[in-house]
Amino acid sequence: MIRLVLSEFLRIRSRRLVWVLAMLIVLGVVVGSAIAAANSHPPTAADLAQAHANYLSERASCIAGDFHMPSAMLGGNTLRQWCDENLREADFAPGDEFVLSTLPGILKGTSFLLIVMGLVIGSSSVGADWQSGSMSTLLTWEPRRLRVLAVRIVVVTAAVFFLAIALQALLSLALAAVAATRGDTTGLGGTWLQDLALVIARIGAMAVFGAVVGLSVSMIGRATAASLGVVFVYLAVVENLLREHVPGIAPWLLSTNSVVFVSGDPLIGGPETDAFSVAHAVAVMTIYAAVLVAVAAALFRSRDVE
Amino acid sequence: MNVIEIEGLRKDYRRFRRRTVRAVSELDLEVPEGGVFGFLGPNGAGKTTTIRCLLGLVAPTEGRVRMLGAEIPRGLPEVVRQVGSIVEAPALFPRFSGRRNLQILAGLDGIGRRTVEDALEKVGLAERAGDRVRTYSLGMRQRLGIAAALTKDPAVLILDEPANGLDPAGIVEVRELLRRLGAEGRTVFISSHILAEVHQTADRVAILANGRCVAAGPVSEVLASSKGEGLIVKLRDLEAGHAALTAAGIEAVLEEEALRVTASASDAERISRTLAERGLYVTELRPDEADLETVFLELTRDADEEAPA
Repeated sequence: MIRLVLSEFLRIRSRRLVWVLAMLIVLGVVVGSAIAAANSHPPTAADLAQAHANYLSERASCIAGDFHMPSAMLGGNTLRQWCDENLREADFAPGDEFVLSTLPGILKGTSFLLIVMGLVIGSSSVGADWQSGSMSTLLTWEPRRLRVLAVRIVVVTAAVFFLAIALQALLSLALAAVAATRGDTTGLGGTWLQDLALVIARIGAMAVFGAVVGLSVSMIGRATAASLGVVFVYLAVVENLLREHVPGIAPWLLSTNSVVFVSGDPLIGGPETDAFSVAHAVAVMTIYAAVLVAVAAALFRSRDVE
Repeated sequence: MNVIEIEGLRKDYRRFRRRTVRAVSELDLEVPEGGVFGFLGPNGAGKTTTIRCLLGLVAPTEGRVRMLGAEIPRGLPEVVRQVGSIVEAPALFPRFSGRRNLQILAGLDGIGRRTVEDALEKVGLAERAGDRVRTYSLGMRQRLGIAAALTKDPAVLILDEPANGLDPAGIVEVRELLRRLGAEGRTVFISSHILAEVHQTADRVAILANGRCVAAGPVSEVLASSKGEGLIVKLRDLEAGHAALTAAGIEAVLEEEALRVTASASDAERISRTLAERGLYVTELRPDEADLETVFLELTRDADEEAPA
């Protein structure tokens, strides 16, 4: 078993596609960080003074009742208390510098790249074998097919998870450097760090989910391109049609659950349905992945390899 | 002891909305230990399907397959380390180097890099081992496939058309390699349609036609089963020679370039003297010995005629 795992690691390490995808994302990180650095300008003393003046002016207006807040909205507070709680000086900070505290949001926004990377690596890890015919060569060395599939899934998901974490860490470090030199690094407490770590882990898990889906569909269809095509058509066409024509199906759609899982926000499930929990998203996606793997395993086990 | 035993093997391919194709039909085959065994048959005879059944890649529809005492496919994991194989053209990763392909496969058996290098050396690929496989010629891929099979130091070597794509020098090298491996006591099972090649390499053969085995045994026995017998006589005036032999009571058939005489080798002197007494001098006199190609064509033609329409 260990030999098979090592051999699979050597194989995935030798795959050019893995390196090309990783290098493209690294390039994206470098370019993105350079743009962020170029557009980030630390505020001057005059900017800060203006921002402070704006804050004081707004606060004064609020306290004077210029916002016409209904008393029911105050929640038992005085108007002053409500204004102090809801108007924060940080919100008036000059807006053209990079603020590191927005990093979790940036990672969430770019997560689709890593999910696609996982999908492509997963699909091609099996599709390439079928297309080159090397699956039959592999099986003449290790005929236990379920073992081959299980090890392939473990190795591919481990590699994708590692890559996803490493690339996010790289982006985080690059943007931290931008913020430290030309931006704002305030508001980075323990809670922020914990939130950041959770976001990175969730995106890593989503990339793994993409890899498992890609690998399974590729094992069923025995081709990388067909597998990618099926997944993209399903997500872009089928799920949108279902969302439109079948009310209440959103909690069972992959795209909705993916968004809820990556955001970690149950409310983002969408207005068309009741909000559902992150745990629900995890459960739904786990079931989908398990069903796909089971179908792929059953077909691989019984199919003639030609 | 038989290394490979096949009993009543049948393989039907069922295709969606198309008729079922029977690739192998009631095949019985025994391959004894050691030496080179030639598995012959025209295209579509079922050779590759049989090999795929042996290697567990294809599930038989019916019948029993045993290799090295293990039931296939259930017992294959127990013996797979003793079996080296190539099925059709060696299928390897075209974007990896030859060496990397071998290292990945060898890693599955814990085979070290030294053995990989030795195998590359043995098939004459050491210098190109670092190049991508997609830059290899078919012959080089074939050598790489053989190298992969050899890294296992296998007791049984199953090679599907091993001479495919090789140049004449490569064919001679592979032939010698296979002979050497067979002489070492390994069982080398080669399928081929290059009959002269098998004739020169194999100790035993089986001939497959329409999915059935139509002849099997030592090469000499299979050749002896041919309809060809008698002597071939060549001389300048074939018609005069035919008349002379017939007059002497020797049965002969006049053919385009020779006389086919129904007689044994011990009658050669009498034939030669009979012709010489009439001033006809023999330019060639040899037994009408069938080669493997003749036998193969006869047997596969007979099988075609007997096959149900």
